[in-house]
Amino acid sequence: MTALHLPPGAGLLDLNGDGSYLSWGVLQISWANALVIALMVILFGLALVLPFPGAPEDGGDGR
Amino acid sequence: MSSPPLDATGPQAGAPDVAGPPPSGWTARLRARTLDTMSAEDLLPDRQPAYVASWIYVFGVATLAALLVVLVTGLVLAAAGPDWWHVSGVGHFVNSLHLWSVEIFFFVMVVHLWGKFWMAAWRGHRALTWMTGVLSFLVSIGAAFTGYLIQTNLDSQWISSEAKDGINASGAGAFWNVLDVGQMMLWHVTLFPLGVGLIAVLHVLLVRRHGVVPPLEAPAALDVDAGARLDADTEGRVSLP
Amino acid sequence: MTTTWRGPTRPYDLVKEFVAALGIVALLTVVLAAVFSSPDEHAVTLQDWARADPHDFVATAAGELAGTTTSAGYGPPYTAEGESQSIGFLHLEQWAGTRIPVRPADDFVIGPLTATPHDTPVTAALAAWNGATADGRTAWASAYVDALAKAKDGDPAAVAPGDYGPVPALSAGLLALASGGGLDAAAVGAPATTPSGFYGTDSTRSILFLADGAYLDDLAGARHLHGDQWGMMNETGNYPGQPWLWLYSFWYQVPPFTGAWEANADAIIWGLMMVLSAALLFLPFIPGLRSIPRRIPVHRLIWRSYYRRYGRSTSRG
Repeated sequence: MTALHLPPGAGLLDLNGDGSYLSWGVLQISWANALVIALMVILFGLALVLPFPGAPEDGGDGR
Repeated sequence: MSSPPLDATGPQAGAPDVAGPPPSGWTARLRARTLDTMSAEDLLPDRQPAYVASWIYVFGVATLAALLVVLVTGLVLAAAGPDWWHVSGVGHFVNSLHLWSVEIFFFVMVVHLWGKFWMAAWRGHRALTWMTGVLSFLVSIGAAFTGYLIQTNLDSQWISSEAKDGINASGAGAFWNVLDVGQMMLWHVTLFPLGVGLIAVLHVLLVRRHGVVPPLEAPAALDVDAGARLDADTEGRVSLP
Repeated sequence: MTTTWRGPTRPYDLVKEFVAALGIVALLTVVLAAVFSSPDEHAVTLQDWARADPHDFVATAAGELAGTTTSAGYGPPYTAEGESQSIGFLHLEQWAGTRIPVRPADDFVIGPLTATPHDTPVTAALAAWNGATADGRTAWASAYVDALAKAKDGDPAAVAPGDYGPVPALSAGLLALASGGGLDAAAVGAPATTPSGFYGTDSTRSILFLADGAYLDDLAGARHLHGDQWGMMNETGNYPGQPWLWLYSFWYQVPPFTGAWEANADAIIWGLMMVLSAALLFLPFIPGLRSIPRRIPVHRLIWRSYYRRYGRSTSRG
């Protein structure tokens, strides 16, 4: 079918064109969405485990 | 839930300068329920409880930051009109800024939601904080949806023709016409930003008012408010030895 | 003071944190926009459609006249007659009423043809159409729709002889109008709810007509935008779309929404998502759900430094 788009906007990488999809049974997801969701899970995990600066391991200032 | 207002009677002629009879009159009562419930230090504290020490806490402020970028880039698009980004390279770049800031906004907002869920952050009279958070998420989805509708390109043609079926099925489609790009545009640039903004402000004020939720399984000696219980309506004060 | 925390505290600079977050988010936005830009596949005009797929265009025009298109049989809010969706006894779509009245045969075909100058065959065809009874019109148009479906490639030139009245001439006339760009500017672009067609800010009729054909549908399918392709989540090309709509999209992939409940799938799924959203909203009050954080102690990671210093109680909560 005709692709009716103008030349892409001036991005360094062109994400236009046919999309790439992952399929598994009824599940179907674009690589782009899968990457976004994976990054969310990874960042959530990192946020949980990475030490937070200014917070000494003994729990911070008391007063 | 809130301590007695510090100066409920205000500088009125003849009024005693101590917390006296309850405020009367609409003005005094409104002030007592709003301004008097929080001091400047409550609104902009420079200290937090010691347990606020995890990277998970940055996702709330990241959401606010992303919302600001969304609003500013949206304002630029609005200033130049809906066709600008189709015909101008600068306009297209601003549209790209708006799109990616929206992706970032939802990204950090959902991670923030995950964090708050696992903290059971609704404890200690914080149910409304949780609910305003969920509301801002839902209203943001509506805002983003109208944004996709007003792209005035192939994507918006398809999205509107599909989405109409779901919205019509609810009965709302008779009043909220997703095929009417004019109506959707006005919703996107006025009503939805107002809605998201107001709910977000309310949400942040509630966080400042009630403070960041204390840890689950906090030691019994500290008796933190709702530190151990999980329902929404416990109250408690902490006294450290 | 409204906060009830009287325990240990630490310095925490909220404003600096916000400024840092703003800087990082803004920088990330600029980088992403510069590297990936954003998609902008141009809108399809009725002219594009008429030129790219004239057979589909003619079939759709005939279908509007026959009353067999999606728009013609939609029901409220566009037409009084038609199957509207319901959730059991809840006929929300019907109760809301026909508040965006559209008359597909007139709005999409007869109206535009009448409003623009034409050569004699179309003028005569309009006269024949206007002079016929409703039953006569339906008979002609339905016969022509069936004949087009049987013709090779749906080509009007390959249609078997039959009694189609003025319908072939009307469809061909609309195709010519559209191919010349006149239909985009004509009555189809007019707002559905206000009389003036000068300022076309209401695109209702144009999109309804366009969506009645297969052309837009095929373009969408090629881009994984159909409902049964998780299309609600997707963007054109390789751009990330709306991953937060994963759950709304999910139901459209599975039975019974793809089978027994398909006719009311939109209504039922909308209702289901309202219920689930309410559950998320009122989570603090729902026993069982609200105790998941206690049963699965992810919080022990979040507050581990605090527990290390002050201990952790397992006797309560």
